Amino acid sequence: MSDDIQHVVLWLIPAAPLISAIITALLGPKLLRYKSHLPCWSAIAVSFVCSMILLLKVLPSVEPTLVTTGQAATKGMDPDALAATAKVSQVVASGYEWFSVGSMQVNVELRADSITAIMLCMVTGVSLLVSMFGSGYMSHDPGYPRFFAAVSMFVFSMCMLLLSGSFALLFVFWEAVGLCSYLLIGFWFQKPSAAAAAKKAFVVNRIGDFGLIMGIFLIWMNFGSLDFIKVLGDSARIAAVESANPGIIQLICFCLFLGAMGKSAQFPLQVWLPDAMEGPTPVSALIHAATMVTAGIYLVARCTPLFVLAPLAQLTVSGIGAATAAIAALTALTQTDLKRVLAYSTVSQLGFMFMALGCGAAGAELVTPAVTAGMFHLFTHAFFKALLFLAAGSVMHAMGDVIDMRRFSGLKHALPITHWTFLVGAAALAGVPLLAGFWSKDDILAVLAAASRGKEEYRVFFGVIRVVAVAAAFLTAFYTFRAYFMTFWGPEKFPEEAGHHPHEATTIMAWPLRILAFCAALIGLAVGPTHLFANRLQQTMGLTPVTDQHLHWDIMAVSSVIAIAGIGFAWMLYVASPKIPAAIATTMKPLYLLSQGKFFLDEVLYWVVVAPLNGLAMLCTVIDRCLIDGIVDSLGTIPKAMSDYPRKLHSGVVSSYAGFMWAGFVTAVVLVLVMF
Amino acid sequence: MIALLFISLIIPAATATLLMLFRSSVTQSNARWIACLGSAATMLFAVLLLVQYRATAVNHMETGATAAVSSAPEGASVRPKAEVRYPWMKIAGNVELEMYFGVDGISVSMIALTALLSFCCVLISWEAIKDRASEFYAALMILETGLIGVFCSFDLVLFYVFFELTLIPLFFMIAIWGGSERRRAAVKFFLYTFAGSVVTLSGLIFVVLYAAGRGLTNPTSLPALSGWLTFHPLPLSLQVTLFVAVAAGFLIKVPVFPFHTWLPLAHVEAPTAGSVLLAGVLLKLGSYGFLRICIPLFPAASFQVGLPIIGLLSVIGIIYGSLCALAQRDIKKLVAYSSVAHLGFCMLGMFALNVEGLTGSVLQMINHGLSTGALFLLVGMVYERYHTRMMDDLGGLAARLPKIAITMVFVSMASIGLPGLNGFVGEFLSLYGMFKANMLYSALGTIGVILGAWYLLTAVQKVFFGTLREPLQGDHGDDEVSDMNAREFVAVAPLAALCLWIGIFPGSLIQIIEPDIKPVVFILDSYRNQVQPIWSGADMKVATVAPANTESRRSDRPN
Repeated sequence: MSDDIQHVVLWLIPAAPLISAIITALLGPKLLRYKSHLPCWSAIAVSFVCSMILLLKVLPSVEPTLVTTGQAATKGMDPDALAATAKVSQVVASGYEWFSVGSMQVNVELRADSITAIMLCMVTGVSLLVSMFGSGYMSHDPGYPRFFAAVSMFVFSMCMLLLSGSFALLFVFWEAVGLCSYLLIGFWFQKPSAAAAAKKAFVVNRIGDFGLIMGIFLIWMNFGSLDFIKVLGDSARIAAVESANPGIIQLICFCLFLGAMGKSAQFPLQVWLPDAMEGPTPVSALIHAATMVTAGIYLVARCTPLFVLAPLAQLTVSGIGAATAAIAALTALTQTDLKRVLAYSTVSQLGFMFMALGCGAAGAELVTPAVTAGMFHLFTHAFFKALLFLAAGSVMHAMGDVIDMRRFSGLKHALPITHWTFLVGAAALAGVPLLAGFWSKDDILAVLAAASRGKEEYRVFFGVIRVVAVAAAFLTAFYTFRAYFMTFWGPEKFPEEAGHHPHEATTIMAWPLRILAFCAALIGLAVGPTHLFANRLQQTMGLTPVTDQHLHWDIMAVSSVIAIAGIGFAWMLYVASPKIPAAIATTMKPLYLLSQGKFFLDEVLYWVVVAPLNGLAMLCTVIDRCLIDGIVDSLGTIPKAMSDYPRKLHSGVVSSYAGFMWAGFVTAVVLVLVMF
Repeated sequence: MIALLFISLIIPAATATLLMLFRSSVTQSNARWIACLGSAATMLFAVLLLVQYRATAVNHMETGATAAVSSAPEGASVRPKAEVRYPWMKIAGNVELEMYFGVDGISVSMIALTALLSFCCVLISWEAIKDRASEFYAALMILETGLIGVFCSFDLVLFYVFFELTLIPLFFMIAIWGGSERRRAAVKFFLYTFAGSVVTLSGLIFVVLYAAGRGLTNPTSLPALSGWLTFHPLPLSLQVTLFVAVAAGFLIKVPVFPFHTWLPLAHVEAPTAGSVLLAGVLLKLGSYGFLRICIPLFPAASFQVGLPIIGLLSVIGIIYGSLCALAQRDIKKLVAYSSVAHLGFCMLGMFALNVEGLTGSVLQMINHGLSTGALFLLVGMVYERYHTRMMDDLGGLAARLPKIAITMVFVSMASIGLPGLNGFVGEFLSLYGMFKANMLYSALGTIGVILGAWYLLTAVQKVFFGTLREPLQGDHGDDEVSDMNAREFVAVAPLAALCLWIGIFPGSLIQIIEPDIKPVVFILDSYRNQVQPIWSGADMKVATVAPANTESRRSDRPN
């Protein structure tokens, strides 16, 4: 395929949604109105097709190029390892020079390799289905054009984030997706809770961005470049930087991971994600489940060449992931808001991905399987989580915007399509054998198992992580099916807002559900055991092709049992004998309250961060007014004070002047007499 | 090019004269039209100046003039690209004073910004200023003249004259057309900044006399003086003393913490136009003074006291200003405190004293002018409709004023430093510059990025989102509150458009200003790593001020 066509394909991926965003923003409110979805649909479809072409046609046709400079070989590195790590097939399309200062030049250019292409296909595919669903879901909203303008903008930003070839450009779109998230969470800005959630999401993300900025500065200073190829592609250079400044790579990794924690909602920065459910449900499905929140995973996976040199950072990644997965899963057990259950489940699954990503610490041979497992789970998760959210949205649509599971039940007859698609999604999330989540979760558990048998000093650590992962997997199956049983089983009950007869999803909403259900069921089987995914992904920088790929029958058996047990347990508690949950709640009241209160992290955050800062802000204004301005004002009174006293002498009374004159005369005479 | 410069300097002056001469016979509507035409014409010529400058400068660069900069000793001085000099008077025998006008990349950018903001100010005052309109617009035009004058003066006397000239019209704008506490605000603004600039003046007089006494024939000319000083460096202790003296006025003007308390008061009391020009351009006279005078004339002192002390004050200013902004109830005061924080970024980059920091600093000067100018315009629009700026009285205005709300969100994002909009590159480069010089300052300064998002988005949330809450209208009914009209749109649209343009193509602006940063960096490079910051713990005596020999100065930048 010629270069020109490659470039056109590459540029079209982000350009189409950008054009759509501009068109919809300009013409939407006046001209397009309730047809505003058309530019969005067609643009994302173009992006999707181009992404598929990129993945299936363009990249396989590109010759892998050696990115390492010749120095590495001379420094006595293992030539086999060098040949394995340094070859990368990628496509580059250069745009323009964004800015250049001093020796630094930052270009706007697109760069795609395998990891990018896989992510792009997933992002654009899910976006297409979600935008179709959205046109049905939002059909009566006065903000219809605004919604599709923002969604187009988001798809553009997300594609650019993935196509960025440098940390600088990545950061730009890292923030841009954050902006779209802000705009879409606050879509119903009249709702105070939505406005507050939007701000919270933005500000908490900024805390993560602080780390990312610092990481970028450190990379810039130590590598003299922000280009992925120059920073990540050259292992000799990374080694040189590390030897010149020991510990610097570790620091860089910690900073980058802080950024990832913000975006991917990891403990303790996960507080924004459940609140983000205030946005329209398609947005929750697209941004806060399938795509944007996985940007942190992508960043860490992308920076694998750095992370392999920072075992402590990798352990942190795994540890934070495990903590997040456990806390979020425990919280999800008792939530009654269907969307929040799914939100906590997203947080928990992102924790799973991070758990896997950190496993490289246990041995160099585990790096590639670890990253592959994390990315694979990201990939499958996008489909079944988007499906679950859209199905929840369909429930919400039918129930007149009620999403509290206590207010409806037994919907399986009223909403048949929603019911069976939700069931497929829930089963995939729970890890029912052969469905998507089964394969990817299995990979994660396998890599954790391998890590717990890896390096001596980390065995215990990864052993604990492994136990946490298994427990979280069980909880996942349980809370997912708890939500499923509470919503779709039991006596049929509708809230008043739903009217007399709840309406099933319209055609435009039903088809995305069906397609996603199909994907959620089969995509894991299609690309997992066949190693299609792994082989493609492993053509990325820092990853090595793994030859001995085999299926982990033992782990599969264990995880199947766990999934079935979790589902069965949920069935027992919420279908067979629905009185038990209440009894458990009363007997284990403190634990129940802890889970229901979301571990009181919001409160902790408020009292530890927000309230002290507000207090400090008040203190600053008082200091400003009283101390600093007080000093200025009192300095300002000095000239007046200096003039006030002498002024009193000028009283205008002649006799007092005469008195002063006399006193002066006497003083003068006395002085003269004394001196001479 | 010089012709264009003079035209853009003369038009506002002429407009002001016209308005003052016929002030008794000019009605409000005539006055605003005259001012509108005058400022529009100024803007036109300022933009033409920018365009022409860019054309020649890019041409200049392509012919390989950059190579000459590093080889010629002349490159060490801050020299305008186009200049005109008139002999003025001779004093003390052979010492000559001259009027030295000139433009380089930084000044054309600032002139264009001034002209643009002045035009916006005229439009935004259209309805708001009812009495003594003629005098108001005359003051506005005099202010514009003074500001443009500062940016094209390459002569210390001329610089100082224009620098002080800006005080007078703004004093009257605050004192006559301001809010309820306008007198106090105006007096405080005037006396505080004036007291500072008197100290600056004394420092400048000392340097000029010092140079004149040692044989420099045109000591007030900035290029000549800075060139002379590179070959006859001042003793370090003297440099530090003079640096502090000259910095005094600029520190207050910027304002750097803790010299900022005049600013919120002046902003709150000033009419919208006054606030826009005050925040947009007037504050930059301080940072511009640092860049043009303090750093090139006293490079060693910049390293010794500037970097550690002003750097620290900037960091404090960023965090402290943000926290103060967070606690405000009055949205205009919030924006005023945000200026303290944003100028903190500007000074942080400036005193990183490297090419990234200085470039970022100049970008931040321009970007803050655009985004904060626009913020003040929008706050003014809300105030004009509801006669309150208290955030507690307002809420959910996005439902009533969607266009204003969208613009507000957009401009807030620019101000927060969202990449893709203008604020980002300046902030990013300033912080990176300081990161190279002092990691701790930079890390602390970056906290300001988090706080910045917090206070501005809180303000946006309170005023524009949530349930609709409007104060009861005294003079007109509820339904009469209308969204942004065409005039207001024309005022704010160019600023928003530039925010987007600079965000997407920051290179186009950096290309203009960076060549003029390089000579300053070139001067600084002679002292880098030789002069230690005062609390670095190094022996003070090691830090001799003699510049490194010419060989080492030829190397562009140590890494």
